[in-house]
Parts: sequence; structure tokens; C-alpha cells
Amino acid sequence: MPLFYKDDQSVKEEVWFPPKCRTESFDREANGWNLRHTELFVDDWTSEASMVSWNGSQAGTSPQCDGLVELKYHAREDVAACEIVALRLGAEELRAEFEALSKKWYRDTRHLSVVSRKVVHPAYLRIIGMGEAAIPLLLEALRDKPSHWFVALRATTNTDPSPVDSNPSEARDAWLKWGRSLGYID
Amino acid sequence: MAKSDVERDFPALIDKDYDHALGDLHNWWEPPSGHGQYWPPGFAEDTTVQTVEEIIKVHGFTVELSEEIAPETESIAIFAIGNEWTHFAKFSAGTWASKLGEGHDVSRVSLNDLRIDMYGKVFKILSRPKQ
Repeated sequence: MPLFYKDDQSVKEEVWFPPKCRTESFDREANGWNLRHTELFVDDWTSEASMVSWNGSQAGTSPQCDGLVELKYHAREDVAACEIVALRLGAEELRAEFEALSKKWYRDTRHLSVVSRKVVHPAYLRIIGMGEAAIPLLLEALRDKPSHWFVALRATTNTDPSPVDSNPSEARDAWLKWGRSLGYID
Repeated sequence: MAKSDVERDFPALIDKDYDHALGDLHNWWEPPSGHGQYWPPGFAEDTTVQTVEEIIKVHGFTVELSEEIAPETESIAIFAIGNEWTHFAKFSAGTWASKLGEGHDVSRVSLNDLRIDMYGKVFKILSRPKQ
């Protein structure tokens, strides 16, 4: 993926964030490199000074103008989208281990009536230990075979989109809606 | 969960009909309350048998029964390991029934059928008073 240059007026946003960035086949190493640089320079590129040189004929564009705000917004949005893609690729590497652990956990704890006992099973704790990369897999599990994945989701995402007064079914719906909105699952 | 899975873990249930649902089908009763779990307000947020017994008594199950006596009214058996509640079974319409964790609901079982390591022992049986 080509880098883009601050003074290169011919480079369009599509080149900075090519469509392949959103596919599963992009070069992770190169993309990661570009992501880091994109994050570093997003503010510089969209500052008033750099807009003067970058935007050429539109020199003098105010940083407060809609176009600039929109540019910054989309740049950050695309960086976030690429990060999700990278995270989902990381999840694929863990899928086999996750499935083995989740099967063992379900088999060993399915008859327990107390969640606080279910979630201290070593397999469940190992899944939590996978960190952020486990989020897509946890959401898939919640979608395809509902179970008590809420504790692991809270631990790995550091958030809880479910309403306080929700029952398990409503909490599941809220988590899946949250996951789809951020691109963690389809 | 397949019926065969239940029978593997609870051999005493083989060939018994266990399709009846039991209790509150919408909420998972366990503290703390909120975000997919429910615990009645006004009670300690713990799973000790004392707290669980208080909750059950508030719902009208006030008469303690011995395990040796067959209940005549709707009853609840509290299973526990040590001081910690692990499981419930409910007696109604002349038979015991239970919800096995996230899996099957079972009915027409005896309390002996449910004696497995993960549930421990019957701590107490509480019945509704006779009318």
C-alpha cells in the first residue's frame, strides 16, 4: 500500500485508505505500518498550515470548515475500520483454540446454575486472557450458541452496551447490535 | 443440548420424560442484579443459603420439610455446597422438576436423581403451607 505524502496534491483519500484495507487479504505488516503513520499525521495533514500546501488552490481554507472537519472525521473513521479488520484477522488465528476452550467450558459447566461458578473455569479464564482479539469470537459464540459470555465480553471490551435492567435475551441483543455497529461481526 | 448429554451427566434420568419448563423463563436469578442478571431488591447480593432461603420464604414457601417426607404442596429444594447455594428443584403437581443450568428442564425426577457433585446436597426443603 503506498504511503501518501503531505505535499502530494494528486493523492486522493481512496489511495490513502485503499479498499483492500477492508479485505482479509491485505498485507498486514505494510498496512500496520501505514496505519501507524496515518494516525501520527492525521492531525498534521488536516491542520490549517498543511491544508494550505496540500489543498493548493483552496489555500486559506479554515480548519473549521465543513470539508476539513469531514476529512478529519473520515480519516479517523477509516483508521478505526482498518484496526477492526486487523483485530478480526487476529481473531482468526485464535479461532481453533477458542473453539476447543469454549467446548470444554460448555461441557464442564452447562449444568451449573450459578454464573459466578461458570466463569472461573480455567477455559473461560484463558478466553478472557486472549484479550481484544477474542471479541469477534465471543460475539459469534453469543450469536450462534447463546451462553453466559457476558462476563468475558465485559472483560475484553471494557464496556457493557446492555441495559441495566435487561434479561439475558435482551442483553444478548444489545451486545450483538453493538458488535455489528463496530464491525466486530457481520 | 441433546437429551443424550443430559443423560450422560445425570444417569438417573435415562428414560424419564423431562420436557417441562420451570419457573421464571426470562430472567437469570443471580446477584449482582443488572446487565442480564436479576436479583430481587432488598436482599443481600450473595448466594449464601441464608439469603436464598429468605428470598424463597418471602415468596410463600415458609414450611420446612424433611427429605423423608413427600411434599403435599408446592415446594422448593435448595441444593448447596457448604454455605453456597448451587441449585434448585421444585415440587408441583405431584412431581419434582428442575432446570439444569442452561440446558434441559427436567421433570418427574426424584431429588436423588439430582445428587451430583456440582450441586452438592439438599440443604433445605421449603413448602407452601396447606390451605
